[in-house]
Amino acid sequence: MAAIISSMPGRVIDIKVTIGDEVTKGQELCIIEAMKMQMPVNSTQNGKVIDIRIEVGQGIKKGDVLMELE
Amino acid sequence: MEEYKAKREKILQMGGPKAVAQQHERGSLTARERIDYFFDPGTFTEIGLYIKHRTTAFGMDKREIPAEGLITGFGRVNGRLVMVAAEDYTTMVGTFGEYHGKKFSEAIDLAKDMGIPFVGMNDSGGARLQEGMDTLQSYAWLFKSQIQASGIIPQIALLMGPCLGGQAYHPVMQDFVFQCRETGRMGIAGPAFVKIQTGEDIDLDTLCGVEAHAVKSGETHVVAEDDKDCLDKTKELLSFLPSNNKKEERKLTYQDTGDDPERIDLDLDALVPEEPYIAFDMHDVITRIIDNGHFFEILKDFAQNVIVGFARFNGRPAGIVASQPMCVAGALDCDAADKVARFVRFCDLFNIPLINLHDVPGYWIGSTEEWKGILRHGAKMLYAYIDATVPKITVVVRKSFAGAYTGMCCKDTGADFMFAWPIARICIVGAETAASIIFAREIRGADDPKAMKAQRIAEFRELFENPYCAAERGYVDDVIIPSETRKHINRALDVLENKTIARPLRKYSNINL
Repeated sequence: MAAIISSMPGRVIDIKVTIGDEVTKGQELCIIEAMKMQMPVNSTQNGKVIDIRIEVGQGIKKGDVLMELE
Repeated sequence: MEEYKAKREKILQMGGPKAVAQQHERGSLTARERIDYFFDPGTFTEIGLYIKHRTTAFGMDKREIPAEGLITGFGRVNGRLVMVAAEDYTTMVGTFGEYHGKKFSEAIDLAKDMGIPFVGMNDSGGARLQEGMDTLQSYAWLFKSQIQASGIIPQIALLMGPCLGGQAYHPVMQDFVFQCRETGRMGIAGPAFVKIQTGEDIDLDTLCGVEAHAVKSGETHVVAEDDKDCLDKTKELLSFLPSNNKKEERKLTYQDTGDDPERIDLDLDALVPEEPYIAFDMHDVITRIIDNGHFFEILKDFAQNVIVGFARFNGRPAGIVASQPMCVAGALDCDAADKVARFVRFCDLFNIPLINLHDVPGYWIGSTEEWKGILRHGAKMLYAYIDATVPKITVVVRKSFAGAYTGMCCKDTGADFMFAWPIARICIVGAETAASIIFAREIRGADDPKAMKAQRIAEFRELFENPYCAAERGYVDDVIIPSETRKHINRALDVLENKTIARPLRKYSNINL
């Protein structure tokens, strides 16, 4: 299990994966917008997406868990 | 002669074969091996080989500590003189006592008076408590020597073994801290003390290792894989630094790099996405404009939203300060501001010109940074840049908005020359923010608020979000083709070579520390 954590506050503008997807390290999982920038959040490891805790349009804080990987 | 030989031999053996073997088992070199590896062959001269402690308490009168567990002296590194103090963990685990500290501080005093860099090779079990007050006072000597030498000579601390308690205070006050990944451990207190005083259960590696300081605390500037890597990287850094703060010393660091100062790099014209919200790696810009792509990065793993480090332009060392849009939007937070401000002040103290590359949307806003004190941390950058008298050249690569435009060195907060790429957007705020404030009532009352908002944003963008508004006022000296950036920087450095600035006398500015 690994948590994907947001490194900055912002708003979710796109989610690129769905539950059950196999992802590889470095793959784009979602995009957070803040301070005029759209920052991709990349997977920290290979694994399967088992939980997505965000929705498009949602505001998030720094340190929030965005997804869980297995 | 026999007595001379015997005495000397004994001291040179340090803690003896068993302790030396243990040091090697840890994966470390001994203090004398480090010195041999560091200096040009045959150039090291030792000072104070025979120095002995004078403690009698707790059986210390019978305790022999060769060279007091600290080897001090000077030698040449790539031909230039450097002073060293190397702690010897094999003799009474390198503990810091009265005469150990005296040797340490006197080495720094000498380096300061001679105007040569100082390198501390730290590897010590801690304060020698058997010496009581004498050990404590010795720390005071060392701190005083270090701080009085600060700004006169570069000081580099290498964490090659444990450095806890008092042994952590002095490295952190030097200009650059290097940490060996497997063996260097620095902390105000070790795990046992932390457990007793606070109940916190934490191991030494987590509390005081590389992750703790190179990533979290920002106290380790450079991580090394082992002793040899650490010494190699130290020599590499020293090649960029003048030996002292005298202006003429700077010229001795110039090297012929063989890289054409007016070299065009066509990749730059297409490298940065025009859309201001798409991230790119600023390292790709840096390595294309500097000599031979050779960049010595400082604090690589800390506050990655800004990049700082040393490079050469036409052979001249320069400090680079650049936004990194790949990390937390490249916006400036408290840690980034601290990182930039201290780097700028170091460069200014040692007459190293500064090259600043902007792609910055602003300082971070919101409760987290507000409550950490982003205003006072951000202010450090302004103080550092405005106080600095070295040549400063700024290039706006893409965005430069709001406070960050001034904080990262615009014209009038320090830049001698300010250039902008044609895609640059320089403005007090972005068009969306501006339009939503200026035209709030009009947008609310419009038949189609969405369309009205879009129209007003487009108008503001057209009018202000470009490099030409600033250039028309002279706040940008020229709008330049990206591929020619290196040429413009080198020509500016040429004309700034003998820059002098007169300022009224004061003790110092009251920087928001």
